[in-house]
Amino acid sequence: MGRPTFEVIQQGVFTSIQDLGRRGYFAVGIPPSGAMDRFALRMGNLLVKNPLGEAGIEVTALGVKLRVLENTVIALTGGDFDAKINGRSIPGWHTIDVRKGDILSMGEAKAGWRGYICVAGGIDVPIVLGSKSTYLTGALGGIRGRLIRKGDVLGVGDPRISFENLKGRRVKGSLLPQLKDEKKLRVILGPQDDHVKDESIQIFLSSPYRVSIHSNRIGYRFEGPQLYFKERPGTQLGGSNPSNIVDDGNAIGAIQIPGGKEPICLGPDGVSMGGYVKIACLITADMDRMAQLRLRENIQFQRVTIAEARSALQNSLQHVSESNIEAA
Amino acid sequence: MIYESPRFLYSGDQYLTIEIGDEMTLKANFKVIGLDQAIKEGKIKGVIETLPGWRSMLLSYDQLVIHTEDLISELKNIAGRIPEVTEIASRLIELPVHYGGKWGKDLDFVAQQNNVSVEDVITIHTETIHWVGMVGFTPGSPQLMQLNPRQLLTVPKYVSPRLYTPKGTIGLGGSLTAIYPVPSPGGYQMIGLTPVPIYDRFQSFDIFEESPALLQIGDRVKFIRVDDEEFDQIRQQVWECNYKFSIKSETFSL
Repeated sequence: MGRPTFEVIQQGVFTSIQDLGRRGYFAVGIPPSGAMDRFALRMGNLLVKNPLGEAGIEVTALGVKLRVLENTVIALTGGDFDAKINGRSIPGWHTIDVRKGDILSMGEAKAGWRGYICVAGGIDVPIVLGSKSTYLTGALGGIRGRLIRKGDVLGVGDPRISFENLKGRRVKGSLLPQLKDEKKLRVILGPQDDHVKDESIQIFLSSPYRVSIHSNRIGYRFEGPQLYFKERPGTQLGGSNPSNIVDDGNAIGAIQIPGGKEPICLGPDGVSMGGYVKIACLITADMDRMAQLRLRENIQFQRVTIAEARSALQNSLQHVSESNIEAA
Repeated sequence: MIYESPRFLYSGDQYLTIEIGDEMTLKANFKVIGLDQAIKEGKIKGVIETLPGWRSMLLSYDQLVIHTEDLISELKNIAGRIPEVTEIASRLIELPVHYGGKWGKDLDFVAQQNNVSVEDVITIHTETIHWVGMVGFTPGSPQLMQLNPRQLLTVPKYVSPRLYTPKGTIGLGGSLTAIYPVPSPGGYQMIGLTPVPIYDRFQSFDIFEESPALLQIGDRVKFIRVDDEEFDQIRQQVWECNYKFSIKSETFSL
């Protein structure tokens, strides 16, 4: 498991090891998983000069407390968890030298909702079906397929670069996500928007929605107005309710509307199939935004084109570049 | 119905939904399987993986490698060229089931709903070969269709789903049978329990070497009734990792 580098003193509420996920098993119901805010994970890895898809620790809502067992360099990205080393505040999006015996402590999320701890060399756990990512339902990846808990000792792989070369690297301020802005989630209509009444599509795209407390890596629920379906003959085996269809595959990011209420947008651990109408799908670049939404926060869905979605993703990926790292 | 030509629908910017039709039939399923094979053989650049289902397929791709419209036109080419699929390779897999009792507590209800005895339900369910039309929701969970049953077993799903269904539960919902590979919520009527794993995250048996899921679309399943004693024996064999799965490679035609 590499060099034992961190001992978990406090585990947080939902802390897992994530890389960029596993592909190739969706046909048997195993979703990609992986970091929910991929920009944050990639940036963290870039700061400590790891391959961008290296595994880090994802914390949710409440951070972890770790004892450092071995000198190393870390970077914290994503939401603001009021992180401290030995009681002294440390900046996010910035490399931090930590030494044997140091205590890294994180609090509740002050801004955003998910944080990432990347470490030079990456968290070393076995690669399961092509990825280190934890997938709880299937008990795959991470530490024996489960969340991180108190007492765990986390190993770290060999760093590719001497710690000297990682000193004082930080992400340019202009690149940091504005977590407090008005929240829009960009979507592409379909695949079953034609089942929904036109007025209801307009309502979906113009109404405020509130992030439900029943939101997690499998799916985010949103509370908002009732949407209505077009009249259509019920499918024989798919169910008689007009929000039912004959089961089909769910994209990660697909927004189901069971009964026309509480849209559910599937996250990286989303279920692979279902029999509910999917009105729209979140664009890939905005999974990062959804990952940082706070519970009960208001958002709006905004319709974009495939071309806009592509350039949003291109932008996000291009931003993760050495040219956007500066010396502190 | 089956559409004259497939419908290509956006599922966000990294996935496409390809709809063959809107019916849950063997015919639609065969078309999807044929299309899936052709797409895999076509090796279109940028295609990451496919998820074939009852009457449609979800395809994931890298939009930075191939533009959506180019992908759709390549897929249309492939779809236009494939011959009618009438025969496919299909494994026949036997799975032992303990019907009724604590883990099959809805068996009486299924019997009532179909106006037959509990024994009849078990006879029909074990005589019938079941077709795997789609896999997923939880890892490795199959949706099974009864092929030419003496009597089609049909039962409503739970109105309010259970919070817990044990691993290995055989459930009937509508006319579909599902097997629960991992503990999960569920809405299908519980009719029995299989002592063998259909999902093995440790990949302990040879058959799980390539995938932790036993079943895939296009397989067929025959359930074999076992009693208490046989159930325990099989459990023991599974525990010792020397249970022999019965799997026959065959072809199946419409």
